[in-house]
Amino acid sequence: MRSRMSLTLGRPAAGAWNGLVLLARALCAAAVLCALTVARAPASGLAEPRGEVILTITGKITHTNSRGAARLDLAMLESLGSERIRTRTPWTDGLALFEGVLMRKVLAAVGATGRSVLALAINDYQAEIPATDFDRHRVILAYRKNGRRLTIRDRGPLWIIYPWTDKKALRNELYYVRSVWQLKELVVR
Amino acid sequence: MMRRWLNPSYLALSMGLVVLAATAFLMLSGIQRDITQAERDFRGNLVWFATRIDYDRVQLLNELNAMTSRNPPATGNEFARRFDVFWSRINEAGSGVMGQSYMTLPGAAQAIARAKTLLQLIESDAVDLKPGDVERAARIRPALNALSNPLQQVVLQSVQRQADLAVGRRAKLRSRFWQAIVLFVAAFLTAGTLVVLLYVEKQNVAKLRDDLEQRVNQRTRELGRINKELQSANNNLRDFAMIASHDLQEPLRKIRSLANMLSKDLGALASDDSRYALDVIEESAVRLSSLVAALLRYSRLSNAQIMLESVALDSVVSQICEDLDEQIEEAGALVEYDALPHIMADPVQLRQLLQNVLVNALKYRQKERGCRIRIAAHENSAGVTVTISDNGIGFSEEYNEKIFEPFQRLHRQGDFEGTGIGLTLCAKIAERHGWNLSAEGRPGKGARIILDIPKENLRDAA
Repeated sequence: MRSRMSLTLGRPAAGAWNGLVLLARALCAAAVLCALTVARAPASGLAEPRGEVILTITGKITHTNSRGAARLDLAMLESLGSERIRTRTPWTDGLALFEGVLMRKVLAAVGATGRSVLALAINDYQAEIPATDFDRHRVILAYRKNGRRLTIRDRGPLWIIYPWTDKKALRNELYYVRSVWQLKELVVR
Repeated sequence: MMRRWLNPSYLALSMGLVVLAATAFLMLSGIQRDITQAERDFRGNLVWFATRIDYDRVQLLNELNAMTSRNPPATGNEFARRFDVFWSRINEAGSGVMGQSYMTLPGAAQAIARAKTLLQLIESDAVDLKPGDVERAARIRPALNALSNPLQQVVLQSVQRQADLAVGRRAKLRSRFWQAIVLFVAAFLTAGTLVVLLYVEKQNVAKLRDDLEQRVNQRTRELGRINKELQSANNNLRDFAMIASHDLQEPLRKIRSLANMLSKDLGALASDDSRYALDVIEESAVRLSSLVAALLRYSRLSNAQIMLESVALDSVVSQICEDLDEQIEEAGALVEYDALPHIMADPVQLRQLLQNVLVNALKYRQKERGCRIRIAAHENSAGVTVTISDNGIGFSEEYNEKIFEPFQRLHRQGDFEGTGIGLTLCAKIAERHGWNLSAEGRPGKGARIILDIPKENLRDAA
C-alpha cells in the first residue's frame, strides 16, 4: 500500500521556494533554540506519563522519558497550553471547532532539532511535514472537536489540523495530505 | 476615411484581432476551469479513498488472524484500535467533499450500509475479543470477509470513474491544443497583416514625399523663372524710362529753342493770340523737360547701388540747411533740430531724401505766418523714428498715402511749382534702405513726415 504522501502534487517554483524554505528553516531553528532554553529549565528530562500514552515522539529530540523516546499522555499535552481553531476540512461537514496544542510547543517541549517531522497514524498512513509549517502556521495537534474528546472512531485521539478557513493558501493538497488523523507517533528527522 | 477602413488589409487585421482576443479569452478561462477541476479531481481522488476503506478492513482481518495465531499478542489493544479505525472509516465514509463523491459511486451506498450493519453486529464481540478467543474470532471473520466483495467493487468503480475523468481531461487538452493552434494562426495572420500594412503605409509615405519634393522643385523652378522674367521686365522698364527720358529731352530742347526763335522773329508782328500760343508752347516744353528730368532721376535712383555707411543725421541736416540758405531766408523760416543719432545709410540718398522733405516744407508754407520746421528723433523698441514737422498748409488726411505716388500734386500748377516727383523719390529711397516713410497732415495745420528706421539699420554713435 502506497502512502497518501505519494500523491503530493509538485511543489511550487523551485528557486523562490528554496529561498523561502531556507528562511523559514532559519526562523524555525531560532524558535526551537529559544524553546529549548525554556524547556530545559524545569528538569533534565521529561516527566513520566501518568495516563494512557497517546503520542510517542522519537528521532532528533533532546528531552525523553523512555529509551530515546518521549511518551506523552493527554494531561502532558494539555499542560503545554491549549489552542483553538475554527475551520472547515475536506473530510467533515460544516465548520468545526478543534482544540489542541500548538505543534511548535510540543516539539519545543521535547527539544526537537530536526528539519521535518514524519507523522504516523494508527491506520498506517504516514506523511512528512516540514518543520517550517509549524512556525509559519498555527498548526495544532487537536484532541477535541466541538468540545468532545476525539476517539479513534472520530479520527482521534490526535489529529493534525491546519487553520484552513483562516488561510486560503493552505487550502490545497499540499497541506491536506499533511493533516494526519488517528495520529500515534511523530518522528523528528 | 471610410474607404480606408474598408480596405481588405484592415478588415483582415480587425478580424485577426477579434479572433486573437476571443481565443485567448476562451483559452484562459478554460485553463482556469481546468485548474479548478483538477483540484476537485484530486480532492475527490476516489481510488485512494475507496482503497483506504478496504485496506483498513484487510488490516483488521490481519490483526484478527494475529489474535488467534500460535503467538498471539499480549493484549487485544491493537485489534481494538484497528476495529475503531475501520469503524471510523465506515461511519465517516459519507462526510466531507471526498465522502460525498464516494457515495455517488455505483454500489458504494449499499456497501457502506451493509458494512455499518455488520459492524454493529460484531461490535460487542470485537470489543470483548481477547488473544486466543477463537470462538469470537470465528463470528467476526465472516462479517469482514462478506464486506470484501462489495468494497472491492466500489474500488473498481472508482478506478473506472478516474479513467473517465482522464479521458475527459485528454479531450479537453486536445481542444486546448486546437485553441492554441487557432491562437497561433490568428496571431501569425494579424502580425503578417500588420507588417503588410506598415510596408504599404511606408511606401505611400515615401511616394507622397517624393511627389511633394518634385512639386516643390517644380514650383521653385517656376518661381525662379518668373523672378527672372520679372527682373528682366523691370530692367527693360528702367532702361526704357532712362532712354525715353534721355531721348525726349532732345526734341523738347528743339521745341523750346524753335518756339523762342519764332517768338523773336515774329517780334511785334505777332498777334496777341500767337504770342500767347508761343508762350504756352515754351512753358509747356520747359515743364515737360523738368518732368522728364525728374523721371530720369527716379529711374537712376532705382538703378543706383546703395553704399551703406554710418552717417550722422544732424550733420546731414546742417549741410542741407547751408545749401538751402537762400530759400530759408526767403521764406523767413526757422529750422530747429535736436541731437540726432547716427544711422546706416547711403549718404547721398539720405541727403536727397531729407532735402526733398525740407524743400517741400519750405515750399508749402503759409504765406501769412512765419515758417517753422522741426526735426526730431526718438528711439523706441523697434528702432528710431525721425519726424520732420512744419506749420505749413498741410493736406487732407485722405492724401496720407497718395502723396508718395509719382506726379501727384495736391495743388494747382500755378500755386506751387514742382513736378510732383519729390516725395516719390523719398519713398523710393526709404524703401531701398528698408525704412518706412509715412505722412500725416491736416489742412492749414501743417504736415508731418515720419521716417521709421529699424534697429538693425542703426549704428551707435560711439
